[in-house]
Amino acid sequence: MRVLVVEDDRALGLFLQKGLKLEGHDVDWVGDGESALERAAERPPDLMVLDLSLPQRDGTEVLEEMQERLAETSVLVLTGRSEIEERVRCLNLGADDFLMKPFSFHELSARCRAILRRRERFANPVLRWGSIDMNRTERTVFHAGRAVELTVREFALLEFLLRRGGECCTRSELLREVWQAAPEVGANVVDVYITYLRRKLAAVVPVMEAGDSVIETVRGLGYRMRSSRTTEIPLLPFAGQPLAKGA
Amino acid sequence: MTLRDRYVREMEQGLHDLCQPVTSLQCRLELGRMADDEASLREAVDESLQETRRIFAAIAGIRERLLGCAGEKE
Repeated sequence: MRVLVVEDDRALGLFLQKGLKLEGHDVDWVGDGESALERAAERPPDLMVLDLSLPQRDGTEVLEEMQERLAETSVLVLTGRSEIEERVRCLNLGADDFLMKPFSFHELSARCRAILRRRERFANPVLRWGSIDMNRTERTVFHAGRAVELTVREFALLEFLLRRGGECCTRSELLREVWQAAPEVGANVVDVYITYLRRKLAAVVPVMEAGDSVIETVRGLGYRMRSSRTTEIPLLPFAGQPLAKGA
Repeated sequence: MTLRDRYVREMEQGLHDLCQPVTSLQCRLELGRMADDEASLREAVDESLQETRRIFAAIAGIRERLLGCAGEKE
């Protein structure tokens, strides 16, 4: 997920950026309200982690602008003050959650994940990548127009890869997000399930050759969806039906 | 404004100033632990020491504020 950290304290801003990157997010950091709005307009984030006390334009002004211009971005507000009125005002201005300083990075990270999970529930249920269509409400997957039967875990793995839109997903990240397991569990299970997925996706498209997999290995790191330009496969005739011999 | 109100306001401001470096220190140490290699841990310790300096400065600020209040008459 793309995260924009808006924090005027340089040390804290950089620590949060570093930590959220370690968690697998794509993170930008800016130190004032004006830059936050500019950066959000250039690269709309999925989540903004917003400190309230900011130079140039304070956090509540940023929240107001975000509501008008980028309502689809979720916002987690950080503050060093404890007034209830301030929290109520921010929530009324569209903030999704609130965290008081001092806080633990682990709590911040858990709250970010919770916001992103809630956000996913209301997101467009259809994910598309090249020749693959996934409907998360109907729990269906089509490859080049042909239905692919997946187990719950295979579905979750493919969904995570699709949501990352061609960016590399590390094995430890996949273990954590898809299996909710610690890296010590071992990444072999990820490799095994990637093999299952590749087989099932290839099986419904007989025109695909070995090496044409839509899931690409990033050596030493993990996996990503292959660029859609190279995996574009024409919609096959008679979707859902076996192909005639020689087709 | 009563002396008590002044105290409360100054303490609130002091705590606010203290929150920033305490949060930085907490997050920095947690990140150091997450990285789990010696170089990262050493870097975390060095940067954490910088944060403790900021905490000392914030505490000195609180002392000054309270002394300022104590010198005032109701």
